Amino acid sequence: MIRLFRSNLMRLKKSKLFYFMLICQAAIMLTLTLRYYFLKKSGFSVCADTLFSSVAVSEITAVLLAVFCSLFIGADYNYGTIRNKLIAGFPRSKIYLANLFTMLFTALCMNVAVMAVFFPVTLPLLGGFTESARYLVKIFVTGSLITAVYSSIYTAVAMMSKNTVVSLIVTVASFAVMSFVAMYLVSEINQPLTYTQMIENEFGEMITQTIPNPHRKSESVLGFYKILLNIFPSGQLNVLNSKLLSVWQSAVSAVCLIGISTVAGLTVFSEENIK
Amino acid sequence: MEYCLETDYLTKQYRNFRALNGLTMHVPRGAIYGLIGKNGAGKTTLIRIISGLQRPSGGSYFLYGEPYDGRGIYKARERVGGVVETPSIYANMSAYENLKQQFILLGKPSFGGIDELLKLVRLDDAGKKKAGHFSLGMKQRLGIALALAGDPDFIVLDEPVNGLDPQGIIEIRELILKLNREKNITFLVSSHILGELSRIATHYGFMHKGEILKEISASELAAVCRKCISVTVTPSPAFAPALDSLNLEYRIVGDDRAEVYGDADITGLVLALKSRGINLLRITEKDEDLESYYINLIGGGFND
Repeated sequence: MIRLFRSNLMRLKKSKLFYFMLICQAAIMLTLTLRYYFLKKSGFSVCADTLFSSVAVSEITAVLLAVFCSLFIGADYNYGTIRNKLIAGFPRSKIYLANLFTMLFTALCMNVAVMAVFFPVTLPLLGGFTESARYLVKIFVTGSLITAVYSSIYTAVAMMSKNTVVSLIVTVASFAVMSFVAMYLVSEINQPLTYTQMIENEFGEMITQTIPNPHRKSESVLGFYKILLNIFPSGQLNVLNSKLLSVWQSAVSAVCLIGISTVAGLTVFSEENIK
Repeated sequence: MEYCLETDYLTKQYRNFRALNGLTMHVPRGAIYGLIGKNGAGKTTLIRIISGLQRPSGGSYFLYGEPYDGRGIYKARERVGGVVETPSIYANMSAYENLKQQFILLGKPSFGGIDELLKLVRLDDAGKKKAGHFSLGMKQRLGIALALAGDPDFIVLDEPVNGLDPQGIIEIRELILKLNREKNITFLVSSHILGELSRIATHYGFMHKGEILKEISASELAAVCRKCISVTVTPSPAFAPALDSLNLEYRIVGDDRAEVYGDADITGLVLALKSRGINLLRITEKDEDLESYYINLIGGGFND
């Protein structure tokens, strides 16, 4: 498998898209840093902590990964070069895992690209951290796990679809669906218990009245929503900065999701007829 | 005889379509095995299966004696190279980079052999030109170079001259012959261009509707297809002595029929038969080539 991984790394080294993604990541971080810096200069209270979650993972990282996975893995099908690997006698499981590790490595490189801006530029400009080191490590570990889950899901999709365009559509659409579901869950969880409304009493005066929110789900349903939010990468991404997310819970769900997507992808890929 | 590849009643079913239907074949070591069949006969399916791209629905095959589902198959595959349908090359890389990629994949300790391979397939002057801009012939030659990167004993080529211009066809033909003669590499070459195959093949497998109808060596085929006259007479024990008396090279096909090779003196033949009381019933000229042999075998038109 090391040979397959090395061969993928050589392709990565030659990939313009790979460098473009790294530059994108760094440029986004730089733009945010400058924006925060000017806000700080205008008297707003800003700190480096908020931006630190961008070091770990962002929606843009996830979308870029979706595009990259589809194009990088899809190229092997498009050019037919996956046949070279099979004819050379590599078992399908090794081909699959080498691709997965390549995508995990890519995700890691994307995080490093952001850190390369964060530590030498963001920290000096915005000042040090206000949060504890423990919290920051948690954010970083959880963020890395979320990226790993995305990489694993996208690898499975790309390996199963055998077509760059199809996998590109499916990976980006799956990201959009996961994000939409996460946003919905967050909005449902954040529904207020009660709300106030203005009514006119019998004397013709306007008074405020507090009434229970009819749209708020029951506690058991909301509990289920919270579990879902903590399981799925898009959900974790949404609550990354809230102190509700447990790193252990995130780790367990990441391992489970990576395991499920890898087993599913590998099972389908093992049985595929390659042309 | 030692075989690189043996298949045993191989079948492949795609939903409602049976592409291979109990195919049995034998590719001897050192041979250039021409797999002949019309479009849709199942040639590419067979090649995909033996290359490990697809699994058979039934039957089995052996590469260097290793069953396809055995543990040793991955080791056996390291001795095989192949170009299935189109050459599998990265269009955004040069010929050198493509070979470098393949060398890494095969775990070669150095890239020393790349220049030699490029020279062998006459791509040494391709420079930094991206493979995506290569002509079809250049791509095909690069595909063969990639197949050769692992120093294989057995190379599978699926329709290697498809779409090539006459010069490209000659180059591929010469390369196959050179590799077979100089490096003793066994080839399995599928094609529906019979004239081209007949120039290189040492063995033939005639494929039709997912089956091998006949396997035959080139020398056996030459004997079968040799120009001759077929002589049909009234059955007589004096038939062979009559042919012997004329010093003819012949083959007795039945009690009443013989095939006479070479330029026979027809008048002399008729007189010799008549003098022995044998009546000549029919005399026909037989001049069969690979194409007519195949058509006779499948009992119909070639690309109908």
